[in-house]
Amino acid sequence: MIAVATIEHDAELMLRVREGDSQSFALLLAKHRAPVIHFLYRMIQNQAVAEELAQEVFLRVYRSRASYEPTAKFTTWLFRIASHVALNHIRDGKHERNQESLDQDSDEGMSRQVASTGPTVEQQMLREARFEEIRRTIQLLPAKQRAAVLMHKYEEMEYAQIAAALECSESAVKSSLFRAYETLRAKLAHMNR
Amino acid sequence: MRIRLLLVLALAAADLWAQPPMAQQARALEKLRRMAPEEREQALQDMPPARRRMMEQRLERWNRMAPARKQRLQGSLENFRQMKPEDQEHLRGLVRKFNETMPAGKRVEGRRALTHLRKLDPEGRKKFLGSRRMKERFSDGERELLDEMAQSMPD
Amino acid sequence: MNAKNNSCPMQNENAEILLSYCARTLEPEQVIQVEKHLLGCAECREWAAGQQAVWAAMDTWEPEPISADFDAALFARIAATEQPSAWERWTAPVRQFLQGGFGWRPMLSAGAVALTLVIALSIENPFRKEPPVGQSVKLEAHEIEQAERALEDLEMLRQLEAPEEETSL
Repeated sequence: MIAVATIEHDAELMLRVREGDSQSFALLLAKHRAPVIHFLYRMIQNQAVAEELAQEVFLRVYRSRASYEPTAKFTTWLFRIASHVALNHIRDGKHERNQESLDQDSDEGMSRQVASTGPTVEQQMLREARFEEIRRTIQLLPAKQRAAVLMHKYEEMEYAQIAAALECSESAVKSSLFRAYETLRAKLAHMNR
Repeated sequence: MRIRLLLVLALAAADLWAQPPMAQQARALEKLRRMAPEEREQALQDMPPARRRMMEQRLERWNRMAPARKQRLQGSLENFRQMKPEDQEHLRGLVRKFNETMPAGKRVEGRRALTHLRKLDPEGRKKFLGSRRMKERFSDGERELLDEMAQSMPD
Repeated sequence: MNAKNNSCPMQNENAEILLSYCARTLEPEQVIQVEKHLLGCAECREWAAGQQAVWAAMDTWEPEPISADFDAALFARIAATEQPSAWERWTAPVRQFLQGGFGWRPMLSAGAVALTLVIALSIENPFRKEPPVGQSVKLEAHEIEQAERALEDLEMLRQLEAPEEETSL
């Protein structure tokens, strides 16, 4: 266990939550809300479901406050919960049922991109096609590989942290990441050349 | 006091009875929206999981909409409800076909085209659908579908 | 990292260093080393260019905006789980009374006042507004169907709008 004197700020806040300080929970939520929701959104590719799952994640964090021990970095612990929730959601097959809204979300994302920059119709269509290709390619990765890539790319987590979050060895994470990036390189590398 | 209570109950019952189906639906939706998440979960627990999931997603989407957009869609819904039931069903079928047959990327363009088509008279629609850009982007069948949808949509 | 090494770039720890290089997480000295290697190793150059292209493509994937009421909904859920059950709430005064927490006279008075208030509020204000979001509301089975129907049709009508009009979401 890490000595209390040297624990990171988030873990300290979580220990205060354990003591009943709800203000500290609000601080943790404010800091980690966006990364968790964004991770879940990219995993599930449906914003409404991602927010629902994120609620579940933070609810679990809150419910676990009494038994919380700062044995790992808070972010690692948080993303372990988030990964669990996302992978369970996908495993239970609920993911497939979100297909309809996945397309709708895609439309919204595209329209926002288009609206913000005001490109020509051709540029719009090209951007839409590229955006769609990125989403679809990432969605085709096996769930655990996808989680590893998203944590590595967007959360800038180290291999050891990703391994702890996904409850596997560091070498398994590296192997997952390389396989995933190989797939992505084969399908996406042409885009920015 | 008792008479007053009975009168109030009678008025409330009459009010409910007199409500058109549209108002009842809006009222039911508003009630659902206002429920606490735990209560909503309990209220919907007997629904089949897929239907329930779909309903929750749609409710979430509705909750996130800007008030102006909600108002606009409520207006469209009122107009839709004033259509004959067979016309309503026909439009539902067209939308299903649109979603099932057109690729996701193309649907965005399709929706833009629909919005434009609805502003045109029959002659303008024909001209727009026959334009080079539309022909390059959509197949004959897709353009026919867009035309039929534009004509079947409520104001 | 030898340019002549036939295991280059993907066979051993080289790939890890290259991946970190593309992710821009290497120390400056390591960056110099890798760039020196890239000059002489076409395979690694190719690999790194592909990885950087993937990285750049992924950078364009902006997340969706988060609902404004996310925190409120979460706190409501937390409050709901923290609250005692209905049975505990209703029986709390009786249990306190039985444990000797209250005298019977003040409890009787409080009960009478509460009862009067409940009756007065439910009768005198029959057209009161809908409760705010998150408060207790009952929904009948037929109302669930009505709400479902409304949501289904609203969703269909939403899909018929041009995506530009969704920027107000």
